[in-house]
Amino acid sequence: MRIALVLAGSLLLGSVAAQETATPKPQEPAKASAAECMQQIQDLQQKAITDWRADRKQAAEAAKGPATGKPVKAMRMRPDFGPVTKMATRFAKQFAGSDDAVPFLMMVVQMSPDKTAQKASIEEMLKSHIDSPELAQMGGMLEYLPRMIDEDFAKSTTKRMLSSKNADVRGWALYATHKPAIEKADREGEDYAAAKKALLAACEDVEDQRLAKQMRGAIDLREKYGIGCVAPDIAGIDLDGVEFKLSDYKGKVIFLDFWGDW
Amino acid sequence: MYPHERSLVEEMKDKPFALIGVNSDQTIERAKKAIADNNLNWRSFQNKGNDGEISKDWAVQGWPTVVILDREMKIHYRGHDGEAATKVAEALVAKMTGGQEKK
Repeated sequence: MRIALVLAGSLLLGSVAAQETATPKPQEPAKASAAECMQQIQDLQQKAITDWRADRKQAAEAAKGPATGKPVKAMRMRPDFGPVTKMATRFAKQFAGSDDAVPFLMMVVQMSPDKTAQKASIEEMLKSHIDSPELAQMGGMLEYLPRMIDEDFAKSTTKRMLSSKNADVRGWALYATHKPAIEKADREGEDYAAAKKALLAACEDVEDQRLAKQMRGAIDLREKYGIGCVAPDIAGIDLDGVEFKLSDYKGKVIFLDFWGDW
Repeated sequence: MYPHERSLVEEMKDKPFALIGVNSDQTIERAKKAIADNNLNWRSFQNKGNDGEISKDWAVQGWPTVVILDREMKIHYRGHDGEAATKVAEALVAKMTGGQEKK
């Protein structure tokens, strides 16, 4: 859930930043712009979080007091985003047909507890907004889709994103398609070579440099630190401050343990 | 994990085997306390936090992560399963010592 919230948060920030700074004219009750609607949702979301925190605090304090014998109100594990999802659904309908609907559809996918609603929103994005740059927000979600909805739906979503005119949307779909081969296929084999070629080509095409970095990172990880690679040396200091190198132990089998007590 | 690693170091002490740590505690004091409290018997690099240079270079994203290297420092295992890693290491050591005995 934290991931979804962060995603939703960045989505909101992005839209707010894009908002024009013109002052609204109250005497002309024109229809709210997409940015204004997004602001409304953001406020509602903030309220849901604030209310939830207050509830928790109250419940915690009540629990400290003497037992009254009365049943204690159950604490919610997370804020109630029901109204937020409802509002997002409404705005998605209001802006239907325009790419302005995409951020609202995305919010439904991220916040709705209802699989059918999530699925319908994704369907709508694929059907009507396949070329929208905003659809790239779906990219990071592709690897969670098998668990969120199911394996087949994840596959067909990825496949449809491959046909987008937007390079970042295509890039995410390519990444999702080739990542398994990069991680697991035989490094000398054709599947690995094909996956690597496809990802390196995608790196050149995408605008989102974080995505390019992630794709290169997956290849690097496999080629520098994957099974069969010769490990790079480590030169550092031990906990007593004495310098040493990993290669001091060359000739032995090394069990390299990344640990911490925390 | 501590008891497993500790006894592994004990068992392998006369064999061509080394357990080397990369410690990611924020402070050395914290790491040293863990070592004293748990009688830890291996040497560690200082990584200083989860975002330290060594773990960043090695693209470590989850803890604990174990990597098994053979005598040529070639990687044979990388993952989070200490028992699976131990099996890989033991097999490599057995191969080495088996070869020596034949000589």
